[in-house]
Amino acid sequence: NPYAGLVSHLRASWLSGKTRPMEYRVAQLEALGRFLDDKKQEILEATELDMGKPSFEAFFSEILLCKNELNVTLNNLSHWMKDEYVDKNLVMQLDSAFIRKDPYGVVLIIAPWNYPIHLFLVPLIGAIAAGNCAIIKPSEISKNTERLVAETLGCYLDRNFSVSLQDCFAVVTGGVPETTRLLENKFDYIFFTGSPPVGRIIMTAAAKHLTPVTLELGGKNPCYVSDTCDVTNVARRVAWGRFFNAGQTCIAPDYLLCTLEMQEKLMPALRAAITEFFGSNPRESPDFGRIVSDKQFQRLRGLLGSGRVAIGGQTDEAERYIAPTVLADVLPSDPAMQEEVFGPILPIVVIANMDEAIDFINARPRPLALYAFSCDSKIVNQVLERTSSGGFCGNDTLMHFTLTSLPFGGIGNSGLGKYHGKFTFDTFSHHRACLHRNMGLETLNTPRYPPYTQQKLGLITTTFEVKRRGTCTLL
Amino acid sequence: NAYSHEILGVLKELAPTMEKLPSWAAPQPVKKNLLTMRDEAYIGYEPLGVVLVIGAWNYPFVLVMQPLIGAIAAGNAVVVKPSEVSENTSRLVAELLPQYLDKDLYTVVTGGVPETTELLTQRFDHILYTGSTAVGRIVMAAAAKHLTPVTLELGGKSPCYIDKDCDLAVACRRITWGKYMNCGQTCIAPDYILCDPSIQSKVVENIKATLKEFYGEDVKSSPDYGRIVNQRHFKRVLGLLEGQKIAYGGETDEASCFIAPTILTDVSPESKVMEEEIFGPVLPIVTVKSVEEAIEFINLREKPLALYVFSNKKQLIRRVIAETSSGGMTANDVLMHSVLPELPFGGVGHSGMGAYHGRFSFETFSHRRACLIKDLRWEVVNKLRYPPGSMEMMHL
Repeated sequence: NPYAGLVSHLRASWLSGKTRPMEYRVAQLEALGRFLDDKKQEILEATELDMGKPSFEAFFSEILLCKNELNVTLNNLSHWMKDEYVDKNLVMQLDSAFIRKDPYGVVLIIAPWNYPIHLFLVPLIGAIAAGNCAIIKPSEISKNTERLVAETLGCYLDRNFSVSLQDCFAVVTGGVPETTRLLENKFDYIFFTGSPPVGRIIMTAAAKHLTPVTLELGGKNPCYVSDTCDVTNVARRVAWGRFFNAGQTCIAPDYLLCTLEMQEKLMPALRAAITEFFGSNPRESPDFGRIVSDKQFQRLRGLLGSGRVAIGGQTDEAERYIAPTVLADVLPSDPAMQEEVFGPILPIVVIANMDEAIDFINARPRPLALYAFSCDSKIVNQVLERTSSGGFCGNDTLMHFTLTSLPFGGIGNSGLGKYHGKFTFDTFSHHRACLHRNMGLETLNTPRYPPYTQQKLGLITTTFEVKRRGTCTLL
Repeated sequence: NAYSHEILGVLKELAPTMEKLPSWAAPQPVKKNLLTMRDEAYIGYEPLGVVLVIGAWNYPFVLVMQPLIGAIAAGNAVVVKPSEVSENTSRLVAELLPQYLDKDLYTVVTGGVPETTELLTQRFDHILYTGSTAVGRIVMAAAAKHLTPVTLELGGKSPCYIDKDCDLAVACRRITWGKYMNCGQTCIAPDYILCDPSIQSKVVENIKATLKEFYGEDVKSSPDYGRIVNQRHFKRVLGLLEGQKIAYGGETDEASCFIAPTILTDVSPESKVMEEEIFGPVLPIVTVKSVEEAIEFINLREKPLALYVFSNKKQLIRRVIAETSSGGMTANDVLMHSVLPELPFGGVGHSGMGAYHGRFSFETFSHRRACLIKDLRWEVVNKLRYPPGSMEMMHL
């Protein structure tokens, strides 16, 4: 077990209690802020090398959104850490009943390649805020970012004079074999962002140690566009969400559902939006990304045979460039409808009406995100109420992700657990029920002790029972 | 006392659930930021779908009913699988539930290990399991195949530390109640005692006195003292007595699965009785010289479902809480933290994951869906985020 030494070192630090005081947690969180400030340029460069991530996008997702989470956490940490006192019943009036937020211990955060800083940093913020030690496993596919994190994060966290060995935090690099060996160890929590098949492997490994998990997975996020809508604005918002990071976003609108007429109306609007965003040749735009790897590029190129290419379709293997593409008249049996697209290709599946769209969505695994566009709020609400998904955004794409007061997570195949804002802190803390009773007033306890009598039972029933309102006991 | 433990437990969960359900299920608006000021942002509580509740045999009625209440409240369909070990209750639940609940949505499956294994190959939207750590692993591994979230209410050895500075008579009475209730077959029973060697014999004396008070001179003929559930567990608990110093009790009767309330003293941490959850009327006392030693002892072991500390010193209690981890805990009493519906009931580490009771049951069986509803107008606000992007835009 090559990582046993590392894990037990972190566990020893954990048992020493070093990560528990609020001052320590605040110091680490502030250090993460400095990491983002100091290394901003390096982060922009690394993500550009990894997947041609436009600087604007990288700043927004990898720096700005992360700093938001940091600030929300720093602003509220003392409040979140406090014991939560709860209502008591009759016999416990002199006691103290509260929920304590205990750290779990040593946690593991496994991040994917598409938002390689954000997707380890935001969970890490919660893990630190909750008082844990953490091992971070960035993705080997975004190798420039992986190297940056492995080489520089340690300079900021848990600073001690021996930079090579941290007590409370560590970065582990490697691919599938290394992650598999890492998972042999016992962790007190595992936070994983990635695909459903790997999510199953993670949860199965966690089951051996009864380690609780949060799995942020994926799926095909449907986007329903009703016949009554402002076509121009819909096209812009959908195009923005679809082509951000060259489509490599877990909550991107994966495919469109609309009527044949709406498909015809949307096409010129989508074309206009794409031109507005990326110019007449998106390949030359600094604002359009690239596909992260040859493997992903080949996979995406294979999806282009679905339906017919209405917009885009150009590819360049050397650059791993795939043009912003819209596929019309895609059939449910087409390749583009068999897996999460995760690329700059938007398939449109034609349906007859909203009911058919809802049935289509409900016949498939529950997605991470679900979108519905309509000028008629009743339609938006109907889609919301008659479907199930991790999250939902009406009349826009992606934006529910940016509000830290909303929980972010999946359901069914798209994941379990949630985070962002306080939800990350709660994810990484054990909510421990505590009751501190009075040693006196022992006579109050007499009804519960044997020998059991009818009279004692009557007393217990009266003190413990909660009657439904509307009933009354006439003595 | 089946009425108070099994039936009252369910009744006192039902009324508040019915009363509070509208407020629990209502969409929860959230704080918005500048960009979403004009929008509707809230968390919607939605059912998960079809959930599975697997009960245990020690409190066979309440351990299926209480989760069932939460599952129904959250709007799910439910499959209930009571424990086959408590076969009479299992049969009763299977007969009665369909007479009161919609058969299309709520169903009872009976059976043992083969039936449960088969059931677990099916896909559920949540599984709540109460039982042993070993089987908890099996349930979670089965759930992993379908990415099904789980709540596991498991067990462990719940320590009970008695400080020298406390009202020993009261402490021992409360401990005796919690330990020997249901013949020790309670997941949150104080499993073993940690105390200073100087008070060990006083602890034994006090517990002895309380036992006589509770069960009379002849405990075997007391109607209030239970029996071990079956031969297998009887033999298991009997085996734990091997080589131990029995300070009190130790009488057994295999035919009736009777084991007398038993206290063991000067127990070695390495002995068998200190390895597994006892789940029987045997109370080992392990001596420690200080609260530091007690805390270290507890932290060397798996995180327990419950933890108990008796002391007049508030500081000491606070310290024990701060330096240990457990599912839940009660100071100066036992079991009682599980009685308050406002407190979440669940384990941590090997003692489980997730929690339920009261509002926590509702939340366990619900999906909290983030909802953001925007307007299709006001596009000008969105222009800031669209390409072509420039660095000046970024600083806005």
